Amino acid sequence: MTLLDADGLVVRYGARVALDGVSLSVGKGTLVGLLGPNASGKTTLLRALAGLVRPEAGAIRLDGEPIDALGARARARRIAYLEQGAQCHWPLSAERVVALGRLAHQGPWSRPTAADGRAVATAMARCDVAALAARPVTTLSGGEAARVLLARALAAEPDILLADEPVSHLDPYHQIGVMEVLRRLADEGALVIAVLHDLSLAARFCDRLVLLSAGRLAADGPPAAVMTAATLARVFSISARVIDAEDGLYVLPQRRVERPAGAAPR
Amino acid sequence: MSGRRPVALHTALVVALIAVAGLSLMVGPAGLSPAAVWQALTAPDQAPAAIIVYEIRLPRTILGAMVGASLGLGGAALQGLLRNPLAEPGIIGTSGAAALGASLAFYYGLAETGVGALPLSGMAGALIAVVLLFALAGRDASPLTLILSGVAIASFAGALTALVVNLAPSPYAALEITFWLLGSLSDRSFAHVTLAAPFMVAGWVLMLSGGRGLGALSLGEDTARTMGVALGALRLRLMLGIALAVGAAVSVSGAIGFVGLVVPHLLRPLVDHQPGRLLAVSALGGAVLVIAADIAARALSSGIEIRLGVVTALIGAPFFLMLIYRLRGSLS
Repeated sequence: MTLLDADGLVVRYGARVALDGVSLSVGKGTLVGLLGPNASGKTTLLRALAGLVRPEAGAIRLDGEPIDALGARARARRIAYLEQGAQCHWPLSAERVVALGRLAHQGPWSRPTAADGRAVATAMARCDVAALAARPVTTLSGGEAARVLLARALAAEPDILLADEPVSHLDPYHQIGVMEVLRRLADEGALVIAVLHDLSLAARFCDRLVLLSAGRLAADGPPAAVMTAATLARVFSISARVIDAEDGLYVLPQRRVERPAGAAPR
Repeated sequence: MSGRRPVALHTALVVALIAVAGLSLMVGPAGLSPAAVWQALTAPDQAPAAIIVYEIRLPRTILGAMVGASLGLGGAALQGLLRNPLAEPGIIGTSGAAALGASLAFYYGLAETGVGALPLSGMAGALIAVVLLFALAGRDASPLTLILSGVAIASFAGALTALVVNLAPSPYAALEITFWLLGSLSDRSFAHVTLAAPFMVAGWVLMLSGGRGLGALSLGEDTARTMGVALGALRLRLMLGIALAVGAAVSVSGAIGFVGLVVPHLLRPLVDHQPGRLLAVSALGGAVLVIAADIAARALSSGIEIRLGVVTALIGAPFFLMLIYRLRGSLS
């Protein structure tokens, strides 16, 4: 069943076409990995889905209804967005940052409810940051701060989480940790769309991979169907070893290759 | 999460406000005992003490509280909006343009036509500055564009004010404008209070209603928008609120600097750095600071009045330097 549906999205920044007619239909309970070379339109697609850029053509529907019909607050209760390289500008405690995720659920002058407190505690436990609750976020390491900000997005209890490079700058331990959090969220019924660069992590944790190239959809399907030598050469201009192990696919980039004739310009 | 501490902080600030306000009614050329002030407040008669309290010190104290609240709240709102602890209402040109409007009222002799001309022209200046800021920087401006545009407007307003002083018809008029620009609460009446109050209260309501949006804005503008904050509307509300409250404050009291910088900075750690919660406490803290500085100005004055704006600048400028020294690593 389709939860989020994008149809023919076109986004232009001046003369540059960032998205050139991208269509995507995704249902609940799915972890989608959004991949592609730099400047292929991954972030723009995510920002369009989050309502941060307005496509000049195309439509985005949530539950079959045009998403613009939803007010900003109603939308914020259903869709959470984790910015790339997100940061907090004041030395708020980690718990207060996570509690900001509840804003869209609270009236303008109301105090936090028990449900708000539970959502914050659950989100912090999931992202393994409960022990950091009282620490100012500005004193946390990059990995700790990234997990606190992920917990902020989870605290909103969204149906849809749009995460832009949630594992970049994290060590392998925490990369796997964050992927497990996203996986569990999807298993519980949420739709998670994450921009990823690590091909193996994407192949092993995601249900579906969407590859963009020069603003167009280059491939879309289950990891085993997308992670092929031909597709990787066409989209990323690399040759790679794809190892089909017991616990999933491992994709190891080997070397750059000449772009096949007719490939989209980079 | 928000336990008893915010309540305790509010209570402490209200107690401090009552204390400095009481002191402000007692201190002056004719010192009054607490009993005499109480007598004058509760059972006013035609005795000199009652006249001093009602006609001179009470309007001065109330106006000091209102001006301080406007400056403190304006500073907290602006720092939250720009996510920059160095922001101050002076920086976006509001204070400077209000001072220019008031100077023009002096220059054209409007200041003598009635008690209303001076504040109204000051607020008109503040509003023009905000409109100009929006025209220059647009509603989707980055903090940097906003600050640079504000600095440009403030410099231009300062240059025009200097021109007004330069062209003043007589040395006396030039002196009058210059002294007024130094900032003072002396010789203010209840007419000043009632004239400025509606604009200030409207400004306070606009700014206080933005608290939740400022919290979300801690995480950056994009994230705040995805959290349901209507960013354009929030900016408009805060800027208009600052123009009304700070413009009215500058118009009735002259330029009283650094309150909007010092107060939010001192109180921020006490509200766990939450920009939304900082608003109300900064209003209270600003009121306390301006009344206290006004008491100091009166206590220091013997013969020649030390202007309130001079006192706050003497406290504020070194504080500003210290702040830059502490922040210099993170400013680049």
